[in-house]
Amino acid sequence: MKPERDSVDLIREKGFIGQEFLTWLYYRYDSQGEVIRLEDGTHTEVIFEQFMTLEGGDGDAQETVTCRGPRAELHEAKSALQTGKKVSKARIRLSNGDLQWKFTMDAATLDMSSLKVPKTVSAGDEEADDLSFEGRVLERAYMLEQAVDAVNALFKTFLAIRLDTNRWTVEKRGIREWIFKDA
Amino acid sequence: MGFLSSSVSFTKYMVKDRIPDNFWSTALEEISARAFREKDAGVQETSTGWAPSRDPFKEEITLEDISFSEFLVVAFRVDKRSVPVPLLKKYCSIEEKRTLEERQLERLTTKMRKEIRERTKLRLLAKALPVPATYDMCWNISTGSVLFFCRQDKICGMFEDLFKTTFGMRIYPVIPYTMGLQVIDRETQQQAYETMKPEVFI
Repeated sequence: MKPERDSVDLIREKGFIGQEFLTWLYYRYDSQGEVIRLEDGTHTEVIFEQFMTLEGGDGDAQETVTCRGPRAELHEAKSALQTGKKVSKARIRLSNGDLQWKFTMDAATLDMSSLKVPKTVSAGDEEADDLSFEGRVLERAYMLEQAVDAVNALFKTFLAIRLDTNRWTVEKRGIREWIFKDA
Repeated sequence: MGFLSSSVSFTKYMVKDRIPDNFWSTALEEISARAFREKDAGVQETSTGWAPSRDPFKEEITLEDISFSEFLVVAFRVDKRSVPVPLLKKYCSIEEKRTLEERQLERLTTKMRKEIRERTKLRLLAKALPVPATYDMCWNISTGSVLFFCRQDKICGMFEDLFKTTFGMRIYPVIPYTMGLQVIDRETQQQAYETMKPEVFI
C-alpha cells in the first residue's frame, strides 16, 4: 500500500484493474460455468444476476451501456464487449458452501453495495436480550468478512493469471474468442 | 441500524498501525470524548460525533456498547441543519429591502448582499431542527479491516477525519489497486503489478 498517494489519483490511474477483473469474472462465469476454481484449489460459485453496466472510452467519449433482465438476456452485454467496453458494475450472487451473498459491485472501488447477507438468526431471537444482540453483531461481522474474503480470493485468482505472462496470453485469447463467439 | 440491516452498503478501509496493549480502555476514552452530544452541537450546519450503534441517541458510551470480541462497532452520527433555498431567498429579500431603507441607499454592493445572505442563513439555521443520521463502523482490530456503512464521499471524508482524530491512526480506503497489493506475492509479482497497463480484449 502506498499511503502517500491520493486514492483519487490511484482510482483514476489504476481504475482499469476493477473493470478488467469484473470482465474476466463475467467471462469465466459465462463461458465456463458458475463454479470458479480459485488459486488455492478451492471453489466459489458466482452468478451474474439481472443487472450489469459496461463502459468504454475516456472523458467526453465515454459510453455506458446498461443491461437488465434475466441472465439469458444479457445479450446486450456481449454486444457492448464486442465494441471494446468492459464491465463497470454488476449484480452478483456468490456462494461458498451453504452461504450465499448477493451484492452490486462497482469496478471503480470494488466495494459491495446492496449486499444481502445470509440470514441465520430467527426474528424472535433478534429482540431478545443483550447477549443475542452481541451474537447478532458478531455473526454479522463474520458474515461480512467472509463476503469480503470471498471477493478477495477471486481477485487474487484473477491477478495470479493477469500477472503471469504465459497464463494471461492464454486467458486473453479465451476472452477474445468468447467475446466474438456467435457474433 | 445500518450494520444489521437486511441489505447493507459499505466502504472498505485498512488500518495499518499497531494496536497498543491498552487499546480498549484508550479507545473508549477517546470515543467518549468525541461522543455526539446535543448540547455541544451548536448551530453549525453539520455536527458529528460517535454514538452507540445500538442506540445512536444515547450520549454516554460504555465498553459494552462498542466492544464485540475483536470488533469495535460504533456509529458515526451526523446531524445536519438546512435552510430551504426559497426560505433563504425570502428572508434575504426582506433584509435587503430593510437595509436599503435604513441606509437610504439606491442599491446594495455585492459584498453587502453576500453579508446579508450569510447573516440571514445563520439566523435561519439556528431556528432549523437538525436532522440526525447514523452510519455504523465495524473495525476488526486483529486484521485492521474497517467497514464503514456508507458510500457517500462527503460523509466518508468526515468519518475519516474523526477516525484519525479519535484513534491517532491513519485509515486508508481500500481500492482495487491497494486491494491487489494485499493479495499478490510482493516478492515475485509487485513489479509486474505496478507496471501493469490496461488490456484490450478485442
